[in-house]
Amino acid sequence: MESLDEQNDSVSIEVKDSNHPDIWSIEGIARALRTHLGIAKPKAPILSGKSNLMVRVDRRLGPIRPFIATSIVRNVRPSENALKSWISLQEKMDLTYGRKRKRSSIGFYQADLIKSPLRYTVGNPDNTAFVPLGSTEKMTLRDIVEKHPKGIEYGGTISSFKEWPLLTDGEGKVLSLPPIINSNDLGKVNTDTKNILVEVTGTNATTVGNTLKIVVAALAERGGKIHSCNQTYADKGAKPVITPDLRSSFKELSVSYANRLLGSTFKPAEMIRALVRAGHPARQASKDILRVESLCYRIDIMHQVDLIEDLAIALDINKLDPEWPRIWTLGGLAPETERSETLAEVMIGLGYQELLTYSLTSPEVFIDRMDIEHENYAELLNPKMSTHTAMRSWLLPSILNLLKDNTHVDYPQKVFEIGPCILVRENGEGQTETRYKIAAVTIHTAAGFTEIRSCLDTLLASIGLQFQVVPTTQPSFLEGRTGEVMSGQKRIGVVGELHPKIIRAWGLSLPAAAFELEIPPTAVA
Amino acid sequence: MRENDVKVLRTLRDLGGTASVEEVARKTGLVDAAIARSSLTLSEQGMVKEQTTRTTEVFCTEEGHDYLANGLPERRVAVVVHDAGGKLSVSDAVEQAGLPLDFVSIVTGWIARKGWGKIEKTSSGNILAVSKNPPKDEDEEVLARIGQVSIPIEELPPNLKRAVDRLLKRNILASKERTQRKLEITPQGLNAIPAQASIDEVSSLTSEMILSGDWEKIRLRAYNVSSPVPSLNPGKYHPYLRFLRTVKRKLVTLGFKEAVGPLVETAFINDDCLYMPQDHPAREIHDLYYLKHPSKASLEPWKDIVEKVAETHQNGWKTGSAGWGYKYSREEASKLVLRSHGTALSVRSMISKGLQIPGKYFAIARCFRPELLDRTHLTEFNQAEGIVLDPSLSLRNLLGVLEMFAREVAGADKVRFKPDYFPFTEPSVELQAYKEGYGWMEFGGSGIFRPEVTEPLGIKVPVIAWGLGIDRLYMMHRQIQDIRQLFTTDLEWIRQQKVG
Repeated sequence: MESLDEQNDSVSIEVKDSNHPDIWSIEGIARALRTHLGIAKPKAPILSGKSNLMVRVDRRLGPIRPFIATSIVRNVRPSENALKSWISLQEKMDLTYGRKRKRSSIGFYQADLIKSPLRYTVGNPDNTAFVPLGSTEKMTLRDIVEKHPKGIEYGGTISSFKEWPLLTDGEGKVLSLPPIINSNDLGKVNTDTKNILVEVTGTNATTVGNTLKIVVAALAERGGKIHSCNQTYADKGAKPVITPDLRSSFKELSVSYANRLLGSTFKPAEMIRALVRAGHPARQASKDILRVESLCYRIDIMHQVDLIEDLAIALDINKLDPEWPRIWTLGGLAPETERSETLAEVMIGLGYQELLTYSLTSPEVFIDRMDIEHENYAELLNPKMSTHTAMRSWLLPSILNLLKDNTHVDYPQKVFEIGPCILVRENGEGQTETRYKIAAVTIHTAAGFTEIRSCLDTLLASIGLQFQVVPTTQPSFLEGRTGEVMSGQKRIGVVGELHPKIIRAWGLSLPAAAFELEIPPTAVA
Repeated sequence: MRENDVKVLRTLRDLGGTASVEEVARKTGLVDAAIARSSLTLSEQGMVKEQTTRTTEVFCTEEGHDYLANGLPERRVAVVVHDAGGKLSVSDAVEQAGLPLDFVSIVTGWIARKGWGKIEKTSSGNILAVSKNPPKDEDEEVLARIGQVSIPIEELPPNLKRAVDRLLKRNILASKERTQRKLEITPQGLNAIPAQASIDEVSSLTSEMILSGDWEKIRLRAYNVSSPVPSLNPGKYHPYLRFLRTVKRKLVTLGFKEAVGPLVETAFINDDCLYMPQDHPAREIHDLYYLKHPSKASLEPWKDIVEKVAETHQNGWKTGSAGWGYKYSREEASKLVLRSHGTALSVRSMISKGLQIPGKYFAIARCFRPELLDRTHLTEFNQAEGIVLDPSLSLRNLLGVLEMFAREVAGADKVRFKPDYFPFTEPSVELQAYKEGYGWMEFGGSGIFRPEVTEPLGIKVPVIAWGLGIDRLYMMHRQIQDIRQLFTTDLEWIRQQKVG
């Protein structure tokens, strides 16, 4: 519970469970509270009867939006508050469980205005037109998708197809363009509506069926009577599908398993009482086994562990005694970390300040401004900011990017960073490698090759690594003052004086020298 | 008294009590600005008086420099005449002295005026007669005295002053006005000079003094140990990384082994192995960074588990679960993403060959999510994550682990637990910690991995999984309000952060 407003007789509740849509409505929360507080026993929603409504499903919907489930809830006559609650349930379910209406979406209609059989079919975007909800003008399907606010928001779910889903009744009147919008004539529900048709369409049969159950169960909480409808799919040998399916599912729960997982010693009877409060009618089937009923709308119950969590919540987890695990294990840092720590220690001893910079940066920083050519780097598909579009392949640019903001700060500036870089393997299989590197920069009026080489030598001598520096050229560095660091035949890094054009490119004005190395394995035993 | 002040006082005393700033500078080796500063201090304290005098200084013109080197024209002509036997025609004399003919009247005029010779007018022209080499006169004395420098006119005796006037008129000398500052030591200043204790008061001890034993003979000048000194910038750990090191150390002492792993992962490792359905909202492009290049990686390294994970998503496989009930896509699984949560590293630990049971593993994981940077959001951030594996584990142990973290890592006074939801854990628990002055805070999420997570990976024991909001913990620890400060580019701030 988030807050309690006694004056307005209301409470706000935070619902974290994104797998628990049955409590995404006032009706659902009231139902859960009633059982939790012991005011009522959990009871499966009842199917009051069959309606005469038939739905014929067009096979052309196959690749577009193949599934539909419908039900008529009679005798509702909702209050303003009830309507508000249902609309909010519809929106929340379409958004989250329905994945922004892609996987499933809900529609409400005045059942009495609709003639059976419904046809769930496809319509030509330009030749089909109806008056969308809240409007007075007839619009073509394409106009709705391109101009109506709901069309603009959700049109992406269907716009790539040539023909779009369309729901019509026995007289050919349009009910809706799923999952975009209802018609203004049939799809407007108000406080005078006695009988409501609930319709769910979508791309996943289970999701569509589950959504319908949750919605009709919520309507039934206000006294509505649930009636089933019949869907006929055109596929060969397909049986009619009767919805909603209000049958409970049953799971066996092992008392000993539950006690082991909770670290508790509850007796079967205690567990049954707790399960009932959590909304699961249960009985003891054998000494260790409870037979637990999950009501049709409890779509979150996939496994025994889901029941065990409900059990723990019903019993209050704060009543469990925390206990540090009585197991003996040997702790330790990763070898990679140990190696980095050794290097950091020496660099700090040499007077260098450690830095932390983003590894997610942009080629503008780690390629263009360093005047190098380099194509194979890890680039994002969906960057959020132009300054964070790719993973860096080396560290030095990140350090210069920091130094450029510090030209007013006392020199000499001597800094280093140990951090991750991403290398893309050239084998074309898309494999990348996260490689930790170390880079150091010294910048001041007298910074130069000898100074940085001394640091490099000291660093590598400290870890006992044999190496050589051989002349090389690299456009970021000054020719004749740049060396490749070789360990045996392997190139492990570069050391040199930064090229004046690079220094200027970063808005710096003092001589600078740097090295960058792949983290070498520790040679000292 | 400052060292420079003493120097100035001593120098003034040694120079007889009064001296120009230039003289003091020459003697002390101090720059003018330093002397100016000292004299200001000293005059405020009444130890020195400043006098400003205006002087006229004279110096040679270009012509003057020529005569300085070669002699005045009248001298040169007189010498020629004398050397020629005492008589010569004026024009010949001027010519032989190397002077142009328009000098005739000037030269004859000066020789006559100075009384060095006579002009005899004859029918063949004017003859110049010089009977003896004239002695050096005042004009020449002044010229020699000035030489290459400037001297104040006031310093010259009256007769030479007259010579200067003449030479100025002849454009051989020029003059300029100059303001000169002089310092005069007062009796008070004299008294203030510290006694010269020994012959050698020195400022620095040398190796030679130490070895030779001379240190016994000298006296080291006392420093003002209270005065400010230049500041240094030592090499230090980055403040946030220092904090992460502390957290790592604590976890290691609690028996956790560190896990590391790649920042670029397949969606398979990042999400599928955690039983997050492939259309889960957290996998949309708004919540997860996908790679454009390279966009996919082979699932070959995971071929032993891909099938089981796929089955579990579809129908629960052998886990006893209903599964998510959708068609699993290997294509989707092979997409490359930037690691979006530290739990991906827990997956890495669980599928690693070296996994030990019982075992405790942790990771400080750099993670990425498509967020715009603001006071509370980073696009690249850290999570502390970990798992505990053992057949004996229960929810009570999960609470025990959380309680230990709250007390040891966050320094919390009290803890409480709330139910939570994650797709990959059940039961799931939120840790709330109470700290004096901060109140109750949400501190981390945790749970026991679902069998749908562990069983496809070949793990048959309960696995406790926990995550701590390590960035937020650091902000609380350092009273940082803006999360962007963790990756600040402000070197000054980084340098100023306290250690420990």
